[in-house]
This record gives sequence, structure tokens and C-alpha cells, in this order.
Amino acid sequence: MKPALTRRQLAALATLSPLAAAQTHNAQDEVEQMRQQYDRSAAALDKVELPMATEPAVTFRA
Amino acid sequence: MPGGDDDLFFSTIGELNSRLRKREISAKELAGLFGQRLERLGPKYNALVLPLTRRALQRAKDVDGDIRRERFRGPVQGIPFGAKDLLSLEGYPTTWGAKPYQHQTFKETATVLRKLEGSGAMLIGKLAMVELAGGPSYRFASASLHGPGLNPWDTTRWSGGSSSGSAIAVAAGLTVFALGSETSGSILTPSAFCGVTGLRPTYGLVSRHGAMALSWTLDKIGPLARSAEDCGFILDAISGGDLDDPGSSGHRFYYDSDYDHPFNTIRIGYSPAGFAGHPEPGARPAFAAALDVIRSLGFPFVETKLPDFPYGPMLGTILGAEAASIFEPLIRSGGVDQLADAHQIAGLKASLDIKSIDYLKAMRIRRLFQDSLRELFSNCDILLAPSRLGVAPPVNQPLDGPPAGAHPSQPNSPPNGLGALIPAGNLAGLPALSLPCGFDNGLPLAIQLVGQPYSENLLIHAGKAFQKATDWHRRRPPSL
Repeated sequence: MKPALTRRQLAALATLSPLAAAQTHNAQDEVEQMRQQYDRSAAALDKVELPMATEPAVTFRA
Repeated sequence: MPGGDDDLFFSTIGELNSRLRKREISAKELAGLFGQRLERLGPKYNALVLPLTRRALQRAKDVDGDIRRERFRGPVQGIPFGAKDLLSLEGYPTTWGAKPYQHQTFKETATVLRKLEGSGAMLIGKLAMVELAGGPSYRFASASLHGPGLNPWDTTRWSGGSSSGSAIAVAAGLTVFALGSETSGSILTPSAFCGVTGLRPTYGLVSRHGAMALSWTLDKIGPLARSAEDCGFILDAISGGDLDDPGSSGHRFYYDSDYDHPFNTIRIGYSPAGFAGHPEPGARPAFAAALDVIRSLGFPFVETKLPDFPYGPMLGTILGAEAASIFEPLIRSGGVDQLADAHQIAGLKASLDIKSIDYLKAMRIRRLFQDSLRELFSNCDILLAPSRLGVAPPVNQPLDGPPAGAHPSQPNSPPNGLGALIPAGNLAGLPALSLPCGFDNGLPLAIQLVGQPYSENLLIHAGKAFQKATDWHRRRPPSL
């Protein structure tokens, strides 16, 4: 499992003021929330049945 | 010099072009009057990034010379306009609305600006925008180097984005028209909130060379203007193939002012719930009245709905992955932390982790969706829906709350029917025309017409009919 914070990030946090540390933590939380949102999108895409021959849309047909 | 009477500032391209040809006014006078007004009022709405009046006045001399010699170059000749600040102009800063890029300049001018200036239109200012055109998402209207776009109808409300300055400039009579861009909703939303007419062209019809890229397979450039006809004039001037834009389709649009398909042969596909149930309650009477007007013109109506696809996840994955690739240097360097919106910063950072398999899956589902449109458009010619389900939100309100009209048990899912028409239309590269259609509590509302690729003349034909029967597009903010 991926740790929420790396050792380097934890070391950096330890040297920050409490306010800055809280802001950094909030920013990390927000990134994690966005990652989860992308994961939810991926899960929604997984539900679509895709015929093997379906190629990605890279051109648009008139 | 003719007086800068208020009516002048709210004239259409056709009206001003007629006055220019009759020599009732000169291009130099128009550049001066509009330029001064843009510089005076633009900052009040956080709409102006870079005034270019002096440059426009110099170019106006040539335009007036051409008109004197009866070298008419088309309807936009001598018309002052503004451009979203994601379009490069040689030798001038192009900020993309974002602090990390506030001092960048380019050696080339964007193709669309070259085309417009080649037709004699006069660029009088670069206009504000949501930073990086809002990609991949943002939470507050303040997500811009230049502050939140303030709505000319009520400055406590948002202008919409990401083409915020473009919509404000047209709504407040600061420019006759403006160029904006849309990846998903960035022309239609500010057009609707500010009460102007906006056209999202078919993907590939307008060159994006010299424009900031946010998502290669979704980005489009288009006009915001006073009428459907004006959008036709502008698209005629900016469309066409461009070898410098890999997404260019090579198609050219010719505006056909005599396009005359009988209305009773143009089938309008719509979802009754999309007009009666999903919009905010205060908006429903205006939407119902718009439906009545269109029906009274003789268009046959058919009930329709979008095929069942995960539009939001598809669009979010594609936009996120492409934006991550484009802005990877900004994200990895830490420059991304200079952006104004914490949600946007987080979204860009997280987008680096989107898996290639998910991106490709989204692109493959997109193909299935595009194929399914053949069936949808076999039953109708134009899709009709509200542009947005309600009026512009308060400027400090978070923008990522549940959409108005969403079912309470599924607060983040769009309503069915044609409720996901903005992401769906963008995923399929379809053209769309947003038309003002009334007010709720003094704030503008709009409908959108969406057609098959390259059906812009059909959309403009229907839009002109609606605007002939109504005057919503000619209304202007009370203080202006």
C-alpha cells in the first residue's frame, strides 16, 4: 500500500510552522481527494462493455 | 467625431459595417471609442488584461484607407474586438490567466488573430480568463490572475468561465465581439450567464495554432457576439484548414446568409423534463416561453435523450490526462503552486496519476458514443436544451457543488435526457449555439442548439429565426 506521505515529506513537515504544516496537510488531502475522484471515474468507465475492435476516438466524423 | 452614444456600443457587426461603408463613422473612430470604453470599464469587471487601443488606432488607418478605396474585405472589416488571453500576439504578453505565465511572450501571432486582422477587424484588447482555461477543474470564480469575472448584469454574480472577459466585454458593450475557447462549456457558460450569443464551432473547423493547449482532442476556439448572424460573420472569417494545427479538419465555413431551409423540415430534439423539471424553479418560465416561441415558428418537436454513457467520467479522464501531459513541466517544477485555486492545483497534481489504460478506455468509449450519434441524429436535426439550468451563481460561491436540478439522492450526477449535453457535445466535437432566452431575477438565461458536425449554417439559421421573434439578445445591463 502506498504511504500517505513519504519520509522526505514527513521530514519537511517536521521543520514547518504549525500553520504551514496544516496548510501543507490540507493541500495533500485535496490532492488525495482528486486522485480518488479520478479512481471513481475509472470505475465508472469500467462498467461500459467495450467490443475488442473499438478503437480510440482520435478523429471526428462529419 | 460622432458621439459615443450608448446605442453604438451595442450595435451588431452588420449595423456597424453598414455605417462604415456609408462613411457615417470611421474605423479609427470606432477603435478610439471602443478602446477608451474598454479601458475605462473593463477593469471594473476584471475583464481587461491588456489594452491595445494604440495598436488598433494605427491599424485603423489602413482599414479606413481600404474602405475609402472600396476594398471591402467582409463584414468584420473595421470592427473592434477582444480576444481571450490564451491567444498569442507577437511581442505582447500572453498570460493564460495564470501567474506562472504572466510574463510570457510569443514570437508568433495566433492564426485566428491573423485571420481577423487580415479581414480588417481591429483587436483592441486581450481579455481575462480563468487560469489555464480552468483545467482540469476549479472551485472558485477567483481562479484567475486577474480576479473573478464580474457579471455586468450584477457584479455580485460570476460572469461564467473560462472565457470570462470575452463574455463580459460583449455584454457590457466594451467590444463588438470577442474570441473565446471551449474545452467543455467555456464558451456556452459565460455566454449564457452574461446574456450574449456564443458559438462553439465543430472541432477542427477553427485553427488553434497560437492558442494555449489544455486538451488537444477537446479544445475549440469560437466567437461570443451580439447575435447568431454576427457569429456567422466571425466564424466565416476565422475558420479554415491550418497545417500548423494538427487537429485542423481542413474544412472551411462559409456563412450563408440566405440559408433558407423551411422550419417545418427541421426537427428539434428535446427533453420535456430538461425544460420543466431540471432547471432552477425561477428559470422555468423563461425556458417554457422559449419552447413556445420555437414551436410557434413551425419547427416540429421530437422527444429525445442522450444515449447512456458516463459523460462526466469520460470527459474528466480525457481532459485530466491531456492537461497533465501538457502541464507536466509546470506541475513537476512546483510552479503549479502559484495558481490561485487550491482545487485546481490539486487536480493538476493528481492528474499525473491517471493511468494510460483509463485514458484509452475513455477514448474508446468516446468512439462508441460518437458512433451512437448517427442514430440520435436520424430522428432529429437539432438538439435543444437550456445552456445552463439557472442563472449565474454568486461570485464567492463554490462552483463544484451539486448542479441545479440534480436529484437529491444523486447530487453529483447530471439530470438525464439532454442534461449532459455540454460534456457530450464537446466529446463528440459537435457545434453549439447559445442564445439568450430571458431572465430570472434580472439575470440572463439561455438555450443551446446543438447540431451535427459542420451544421453551423443550420444552427445559425434557427438561431436567427429565434432572435427575429425575440429581443433577449438586444437587452443590455441596466447600468449600461
